[in-house]
Amino acid sequence: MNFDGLVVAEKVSLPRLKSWILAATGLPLWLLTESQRFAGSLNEALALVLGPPEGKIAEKELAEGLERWREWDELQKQAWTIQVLLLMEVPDRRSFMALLNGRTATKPVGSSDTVERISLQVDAILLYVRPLGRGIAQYELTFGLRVDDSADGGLEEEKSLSDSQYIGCLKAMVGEDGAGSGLQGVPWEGELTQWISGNLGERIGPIRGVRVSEVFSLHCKGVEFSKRHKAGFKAASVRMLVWHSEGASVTPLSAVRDLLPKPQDSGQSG
Amino acid sequence: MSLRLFSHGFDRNFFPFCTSKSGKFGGMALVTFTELGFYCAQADLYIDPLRRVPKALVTHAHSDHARPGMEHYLCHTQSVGILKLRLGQRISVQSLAYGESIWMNGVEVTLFPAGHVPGSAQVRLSYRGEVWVISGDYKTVGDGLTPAFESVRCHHFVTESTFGLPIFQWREQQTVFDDINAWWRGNASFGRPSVLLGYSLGKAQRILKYLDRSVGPVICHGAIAASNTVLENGGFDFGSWVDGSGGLTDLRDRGVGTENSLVVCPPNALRSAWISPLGNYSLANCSGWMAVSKSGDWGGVDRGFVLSDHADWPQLLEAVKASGAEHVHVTHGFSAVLAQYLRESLGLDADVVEQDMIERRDA
Ligand SMILES: [Zn+2]
Ligand SMILES: [Zn+2]
Repeated sequence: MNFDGLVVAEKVSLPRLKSWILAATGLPLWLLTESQRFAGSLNEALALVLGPPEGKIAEKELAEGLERWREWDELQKQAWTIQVLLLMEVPDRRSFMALLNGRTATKPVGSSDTVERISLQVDAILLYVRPLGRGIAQYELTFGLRVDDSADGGLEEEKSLSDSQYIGCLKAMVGEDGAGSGLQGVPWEGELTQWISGNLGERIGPIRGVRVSEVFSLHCKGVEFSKRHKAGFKAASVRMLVWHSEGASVTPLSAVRDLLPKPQDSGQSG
Repeated sequence: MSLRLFSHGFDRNFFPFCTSKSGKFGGMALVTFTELGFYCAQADLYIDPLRRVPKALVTHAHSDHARPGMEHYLCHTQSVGILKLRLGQRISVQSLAYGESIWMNGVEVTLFPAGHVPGSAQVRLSYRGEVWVISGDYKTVGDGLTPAFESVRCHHFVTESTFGLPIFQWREQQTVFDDINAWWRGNASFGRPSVLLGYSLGKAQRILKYLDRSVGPVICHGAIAASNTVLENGGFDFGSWVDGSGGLTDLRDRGVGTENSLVVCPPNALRSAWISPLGNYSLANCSGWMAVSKSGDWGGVDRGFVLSDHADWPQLLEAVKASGAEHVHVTHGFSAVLAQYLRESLGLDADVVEQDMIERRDA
């Protein structure tokens, strides 16, 4: 396959490509960042993380491509990645096709979705809770991501919030459900509800603050761009994976924003 | 991520290897991590120790694992010859076959194939129901030369992480050897010798086994020739090769043409006068690091083939899962990254044990 001749849309958005790779490989964001650090180039890390295509003889040239990195420029590496993604079962095939044809992506036929959603893993800090149950310990938790100084992606309205270190943006329920099992299905759910009841703070309407110290790895599904939310995005569902014991770092808000396909990327007015 | 490095002077019995939150074991752990390396106090046995100890179990004969000066060595049967070649014929060495056990003060010590290089072994230590496996360097995909990796169930699994990033995913070895043979054939058609870099134990023999001899003669640098002979005496077969230790000019006098030859030599031989009679040759490196274009191993090389005797990212995860271990101790490479991934994505109790002194370029 001749990558010199491969047509790539003039502006392939790297954040979008990155979000596709994360969705296709299921890797956490931090691991992609580590990989990029070692590979030295995002395009190369993305392609290598995606891995050599398997199976079909026709893809042999693609696999061999991996050993010709040094002869390629960044655009050729990107073209390779898109080629491999095309061979995979990815949710957004039509967008890849469109990229290869040099067009902007359009919404899939028959779908009412105008915005792309992605899944990703972040490390977020517990900020406040809303008690839900009567008689049983059940809370809606709000987790925050870190506000960083990086200029990119910041929405205007956040400037006023820059005195606060975190922005609450992800919600999950925790505690006993009706059947007596945990809502989140993690073994330490009881331990967490106990911790919450022992660390409640200031009351703000129906919401109670908690000691801001506990960091969790969260798997977020259906994350999409949203102008109406302070953080600039919303998530359809959030599942807790890990309760970090001490000193875990919190994912910056900008990392999520960078990953999110902006509505204008897909030619839609979000 | 914790680095637990204990001074040799401590009473190790009171410093368990792993003091994880789960606190699964209260008393002394079967294996501890000391400044000399992994140590089983009950058996008074060190694994791949850094300096002189009475009893050293050596997982394989690479220089970052088999060091000189031990009072007694214990290793796999197929490592004995190479160990003597590298450390001297007069070392005191005892050997075990794969699956064969010895008891040391109640500890059952058994070796299992690690699939890394000829003679490489994983060490299984079992005492009063607690089982540890120290896997040394390994790869789980068979290479047709070294006995293939066998996964061993255990409570504690010690894993390397030389290529512990998801950017490292090896292709099937046959496709890599097809590429190598095509490169050699191409050079030979222009009358240009091909020089391939590979470590003298393991990598070189693996390459030799799959070269297409119809292209031309295969010549080995002296360091590789010496390893070849020892391994051939031990029953390994990797096809025909010509001993280049007498010098390349000498070969021409003996009627071995170098124009269409493939010369296998260790990386350090490039700086020697040995290589100069070849004239204008094409140079390639064979290493897992060649997967990354900015790798330091590219220096002055025309072509890179991604071939490693270490596990890639999928193989590391496969080995950890197959061990069934609840506790994983990661060493030798991208240990912090792999340990974090095992904790967060696989929910395992994983920590880092790393020794700065360990060199890890035998990839
Ligand atoms: Zn080794
Ligand atoms: Zn090693």
